[in-house]
Amino acid sequence: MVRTVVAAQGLRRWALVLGLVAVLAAVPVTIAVWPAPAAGVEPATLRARIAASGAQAYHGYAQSTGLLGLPALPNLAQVTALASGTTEMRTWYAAKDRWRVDVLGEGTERDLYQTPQAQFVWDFGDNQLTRIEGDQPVRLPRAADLTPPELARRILTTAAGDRVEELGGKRVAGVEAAGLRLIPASADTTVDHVDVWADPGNGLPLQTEITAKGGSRPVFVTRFLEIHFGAPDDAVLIPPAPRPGIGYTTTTAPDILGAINRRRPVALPAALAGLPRRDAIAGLSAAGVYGTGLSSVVVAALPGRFGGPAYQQIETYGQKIEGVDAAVIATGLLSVLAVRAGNRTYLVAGLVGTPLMQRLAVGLAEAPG
Amino acid sequence: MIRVELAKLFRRPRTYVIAGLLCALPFTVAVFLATTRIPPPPGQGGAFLSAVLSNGTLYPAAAMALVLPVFLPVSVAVLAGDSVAGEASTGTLRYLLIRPVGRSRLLVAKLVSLVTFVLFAIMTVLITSYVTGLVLFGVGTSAAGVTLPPDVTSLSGVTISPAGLVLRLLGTVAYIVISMLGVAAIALFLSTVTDSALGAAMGALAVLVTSQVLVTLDAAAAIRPYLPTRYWLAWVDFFREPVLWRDIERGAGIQLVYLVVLLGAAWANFLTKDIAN
Repeated sequence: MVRTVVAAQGLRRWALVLGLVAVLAAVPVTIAVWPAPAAGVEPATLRARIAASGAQAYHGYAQSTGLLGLPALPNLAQVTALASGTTEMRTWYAAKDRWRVDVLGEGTERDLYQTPQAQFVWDFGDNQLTRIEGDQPVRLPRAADLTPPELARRILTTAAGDRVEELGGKRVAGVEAAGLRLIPASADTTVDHVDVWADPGNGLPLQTEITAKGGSRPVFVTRFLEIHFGAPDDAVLIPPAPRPGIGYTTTTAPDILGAINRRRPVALPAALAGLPRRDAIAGLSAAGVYGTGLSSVVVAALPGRFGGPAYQQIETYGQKIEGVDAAVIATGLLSVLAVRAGNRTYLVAGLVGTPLMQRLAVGLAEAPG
Repeated sequence: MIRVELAKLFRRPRTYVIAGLLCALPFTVAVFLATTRIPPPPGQGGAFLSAVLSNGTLYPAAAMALVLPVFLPVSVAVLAGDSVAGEASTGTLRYLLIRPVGRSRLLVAKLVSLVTFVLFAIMTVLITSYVTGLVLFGVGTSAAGVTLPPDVTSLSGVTISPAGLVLRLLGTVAYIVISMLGVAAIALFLSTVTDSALGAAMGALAVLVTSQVLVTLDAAAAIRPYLPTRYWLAWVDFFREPVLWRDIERGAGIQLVYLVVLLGAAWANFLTKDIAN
């Protein structure tokens, strides 16, 4: 009899604990599956609102995840990491010329400040503050390009001629966002579709997903985990001041591409593989953009001491192209091609497939050096 | 009851031995750093280690980064695993429960004793590493002989005043104590399940190692926010400007959930457990 009472008490206690576990486990599941109501915004209207959302101030916490599996290329490790890993970002945006994006790591931080006068980069690991003066006609991609608003606006601008469809609503960072799907028309691009969810009122993109052709799930996702609309505190937009104990430099070319552009002007062909060169930016000579929409590619000419190691790395991890001194890494979404012609190495990157890269390799190998 | 457990904690030499071992690791690292002046490359090695060469006042933060991932949780798991199972295996649990105190109160007293140990151990590490930092790395002079301001540089590049540094270190201590609550709760629960203190400690460590492996695995991203070790290093966010509260809040929340659930399970199990030996 005594054993029965004790056993019943024990069962009641365990039932209480298990009930508590069930309730606690149900909270995140319920939040995740709770349906978001349809926003009722036409895709064309949403696209226009997204394009005009550059004036919307905000601050938040964003995360981008790339599953492209690119190897670290010499001098380009920070760029390939953006496409192949998870990047945690804290961002404050007041206006086009006043914003800040922090890239967060465990025990480290790399911050980019845009002020009306200049850009500033603070790198805690290097204990270095860098002031970047003047326009940068050409530069490498950076984490600040991958925040949901920046990436969505860039893609929608690039693919201005491609159609958009309505997509179901989704709750992103607590906002019931309206969705649209961009479907590129070009056969050359590896992009099957790009999904964008944005605030239905102010059009600020909150989540962007890129799915490759033949893929069942996105290979690149950037989204806000926290978002607050409204102007950020002015104090957070002021970069650290130079002072004893930290390094400080001023530059006009913060990355390798900018440096090559300034020192090694190269004449790139006017057309490649039937694609016309379409950029005409003053001061830009080391790199060129060919093609239109999402099937555009960027071609950069690297001098031997930078190009040689990059070529070897791409040859090691990628496929050799027959008939020319070239190799390509195709990730399913992003393809990177290296072509050796004389003492120069061309690096080509774009959201295009291997057949176009092979034609570009032949075109670059035959280009006058 | 709590007073008895605290007295027991501070009477045992092992408390001081464990605290001493915890202090020895940052001291050893500091000696090597100060002797060779070779900081870890940016983004590698322990957090803040490259920064302490120019300002020793940041060394307590670097010391926390050294002891938190392995040494401190192992200590907590060993002590928590021993708290009930150790009494059972030595035969003292029966005599402990003869006293007119409830088993629930005994569990709470054990937990309070563990929290006190964590506080004691962390404060010891902080004080010894602060002194180590001042003595071995100094304040205000870099390797080039340039005089530096007394402030330290935050991860975001702006300076932290000495008062701000103290506040952030106190925040760090509080957060690490909360982070260790989950470990203590896991080991305490296992300690009520088995009579083997070693088994309970090993069980808790197995949970933590599994959690650490899953945290780094992209395929396990769906469960990552709920793993007990996911937010352990979030105390680093106290040293960003402005302080990034997101992970600190989530880390504290998940530890409290583990504490409530596992303490509840320990309570459900222990209250009706037969004390055989």
